[in-house]
Amino acid sequence: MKKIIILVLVTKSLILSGQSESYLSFIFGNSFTGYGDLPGQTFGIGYGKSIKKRIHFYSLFYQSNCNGRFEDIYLPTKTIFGKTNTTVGVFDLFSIANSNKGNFKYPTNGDISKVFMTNNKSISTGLRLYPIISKSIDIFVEGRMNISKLESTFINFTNFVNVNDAKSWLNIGFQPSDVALHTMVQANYLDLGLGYGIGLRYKIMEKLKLEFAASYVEYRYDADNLSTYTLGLQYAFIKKNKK
Amino acid sequence: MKQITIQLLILIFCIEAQSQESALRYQASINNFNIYDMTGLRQSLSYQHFATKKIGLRGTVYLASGRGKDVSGEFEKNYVLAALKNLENTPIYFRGNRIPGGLVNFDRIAQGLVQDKGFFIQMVYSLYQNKKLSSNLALGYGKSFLEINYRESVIKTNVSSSKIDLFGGINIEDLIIPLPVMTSVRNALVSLDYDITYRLNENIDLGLSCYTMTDFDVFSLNNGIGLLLKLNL
Repeated sequence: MKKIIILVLVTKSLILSGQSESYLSFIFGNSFTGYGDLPGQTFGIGYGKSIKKRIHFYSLFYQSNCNGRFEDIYLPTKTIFGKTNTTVGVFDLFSIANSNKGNFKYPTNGDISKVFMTNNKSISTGLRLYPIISKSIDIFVEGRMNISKLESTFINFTNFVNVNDAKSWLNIGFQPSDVALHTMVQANYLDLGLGYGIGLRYKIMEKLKLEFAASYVEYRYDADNLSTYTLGLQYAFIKKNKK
Repeated sequence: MKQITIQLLILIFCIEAQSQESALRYQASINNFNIYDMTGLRQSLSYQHFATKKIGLRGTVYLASGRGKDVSGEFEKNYVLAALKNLENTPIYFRGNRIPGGLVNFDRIAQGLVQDKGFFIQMVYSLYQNKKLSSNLALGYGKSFLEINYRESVIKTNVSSSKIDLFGGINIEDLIIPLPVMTSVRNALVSLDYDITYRLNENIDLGLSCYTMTDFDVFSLNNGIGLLLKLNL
């Protein structure tokens, strides 16, 4: 407890010392996770404050939605007797729907679905160092601690399942044992991550700066590591030091 | 008569064109996707420019995600406790698939997840404005890119794995199969926004905003209410 209080006081004194620049930043860009298999988008709001001329405290809240993977299993390859054959057998939800409940749409209208989705909401705090500062362009490196709330869903499947009453399953050109049984699984968890990145900002006008940053978050536990590359707008509240 | 009308309109436009304000608007809202009753966060960033005192144009990009209700009660915990270090408790059906690490131990299971991103352009009409308060109404058209994975229902069945294990037997076990509905749609939408803001200082306005986005392709509505931060440029 004592340590936390000291840490808070030190951080506060660092933030309050030399108030010269503070800014809000809005980031929007792309991200990918799962070794690049799951591309997605990132959106967030951040707050930065200069501790010293080249050192900024930076805090960010962002959400990153990624999806993808395995979509090839749904790609129709050819038609047999007027029915679509997929790369592996898929089970027929319509027959189950008739014997159970609900009106199934599988897949529904639109494009081929992404079968792995992960929604990541993170709070991230750290420092930005500006080794190069010029009149219009500043270059920075950053290090941040992330607390992330992740929610994932994916379609789990296997090619080696034999379902009782195989007649009720759509299985064109395959033996019953080749039926790919799709099930849906969800996970919901918190994770800690260490993020680092590099970027630059370009001064458009007094209040507004354009920022480009690429960062990488390495997670401690279950989550797949996340890469983001974002374009941002920095809105500056400039306060000049009183002499 | 026609010319007089045109001249009158130009005159009105010129009189109105006194203040040319532009602002950045950030909005964080609780968003409800009524298509599968999923709720989550939507963040949006807009650039708004008032050409006249009353009428302006706004361009917005947004990113949203949501989840369905908690259905963990429908599962037996044995089936879902399939963490990386808990393989012995994992049903055989879930083993050996391509998901690294298997399932994750969790308490809450959402009925589905949704991701949405998009943009729209809106015409803004200033309903009321004084030194401190202002309120706007905006109507626009945009595009939405929606991804949904949704568990429609659960069936119980008897599944046997045809993989021959070390003991030469075939494992048969009861299995709960959640049936997925997946959809990925790119739709046109019409959006209607209302906001009310309070001027904190000459740079910042803070307020509340509510909106509805109607997707005519799948007849769904997204509604939301949230905080609005307006930064004057």
